[in-house]
Amino acid sequence: MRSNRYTMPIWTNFSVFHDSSEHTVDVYVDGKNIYNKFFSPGIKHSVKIDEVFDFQSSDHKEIMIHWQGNHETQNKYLLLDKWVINNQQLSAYKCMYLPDENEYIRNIKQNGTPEEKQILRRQILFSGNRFGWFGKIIWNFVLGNTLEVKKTLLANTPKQLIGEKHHPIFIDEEEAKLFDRVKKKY
Amino acid sequence: MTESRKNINRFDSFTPCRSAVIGQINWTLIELIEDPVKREYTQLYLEDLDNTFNHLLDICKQFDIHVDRPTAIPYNPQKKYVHPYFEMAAIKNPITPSDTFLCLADTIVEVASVQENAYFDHMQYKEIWNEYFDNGSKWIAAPVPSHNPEQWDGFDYYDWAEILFDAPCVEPVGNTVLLPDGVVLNNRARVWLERQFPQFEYFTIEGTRGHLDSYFRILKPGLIYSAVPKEHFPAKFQNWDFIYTTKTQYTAPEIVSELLQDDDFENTVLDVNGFSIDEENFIMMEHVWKHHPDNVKQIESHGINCIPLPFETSRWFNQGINCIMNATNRTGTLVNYF
Repeated sequence: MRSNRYTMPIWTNFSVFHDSSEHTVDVYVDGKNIYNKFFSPGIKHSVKIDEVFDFQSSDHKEIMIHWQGNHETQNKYLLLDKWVINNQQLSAYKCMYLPDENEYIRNIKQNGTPEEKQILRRQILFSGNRFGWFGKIIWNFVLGNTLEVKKTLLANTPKQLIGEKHHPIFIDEEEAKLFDRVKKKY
Repeated sequence: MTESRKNINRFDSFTPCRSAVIGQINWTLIELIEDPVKREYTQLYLEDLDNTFNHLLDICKQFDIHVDRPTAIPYNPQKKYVHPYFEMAAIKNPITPSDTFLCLADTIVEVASVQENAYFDHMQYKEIWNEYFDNGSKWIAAPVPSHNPEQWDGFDYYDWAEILFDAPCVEPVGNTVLLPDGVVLNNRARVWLERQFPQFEYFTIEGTRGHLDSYFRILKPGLIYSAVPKEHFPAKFQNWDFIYTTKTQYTAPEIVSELLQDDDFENTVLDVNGFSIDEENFIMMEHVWKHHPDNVKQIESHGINCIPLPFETSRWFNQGINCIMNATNRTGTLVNYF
């Protein structure tokens, strides 16, 4: 019988806004779509995701938000504070933000001044928790108990060799560092 | 080049620094990332880190600190580095010379790192240490680790685990050496250090389970910039002044800055991870310098100038200034500061 030890609560809330057009948010956990919704324009929509997900095994895991829309506007955003997985936080800023290359971004990349290019870089690399462009927001983490995490990391992914920090989520929340633990009442 | 200051001399982290090793980016590692979008994204981070290195080099030049840098071994897709318990497609990015090499007294120590991907890291520094050796420094290595993962229990290494430690676990203060409680330095490593360096008196900082440079920095004799309460230090520190880092609280989405945030609100903080050029000049991360003016004022009130260094990628790499810059020669000696 397969173990359920990798089945755990996953929670977040976020708000999303577009001033003039419909837009869509999809949320994928380990490639599986757990949330999909169209949103109407001109309203700040608050979304709460409170699920129990079976990650099935100890390994590198991924959460992705894919925010899409047909019409660009300067006045839109997706705000997210953090993910909470098994009562351990994965802060918004620990993401990889891959905005769709719209006309604005393309123009800066091709014709922008050095200052504009620097601002663009900062918005992508250090977006914090406010995402202003359509695109993908990806969080990666390593799931397991301490020994499983250690063994998973022995595989030495390109990210590890380059030096990027990995984020562990422990199946026993007591193994997490104090500052990664989040109280059950979010 | 042979210079007298290219000798290992390290008994503290605050007396004037005359030589150091600063990390280097291995740009060829970017080829490991297959997805072109993710590759470009990572490239941006590396470019930002390179900018940090360049700023740091400028500061060193200004203070006449001699700098050496490792020689990265290029990624070769035809090669794999195989070990009984792991294999690597390339040798680790040499961005953190302080993790793998402990400069203590007159000796360079190649550590038995807890990070298995640091296994071959020492090869990227041979040219530097050859020269230090020729100049009279001692050069030793801790026993080569097996990295058998079965040595790892729920939280820590088992008591019987092989010698494993990272260099930033060892914080000398004259004739005293401070060590963490565990995780990145285990029991055998502690005994090994005590036998190799019997001239020091060893103490543990209670509750510390990581690199000590991310828990506190000793700014000068009698003054510590710390995320750890004074009670966790040995009794001999009772008369020292402590400046406690401002603990960043996690706040609601609407008011969180767009800058990189620090969510370490209970324990270690990269905030404190700066580098003392001497007792009057301390390099801090620029975003810490901007966001924690109270800490800056407190430090400056002790006659220490805080020098901001742009290092916004610190969280992405999980590294601080002391991680990317390893002081090899300071003017301090084996004295009793207490």
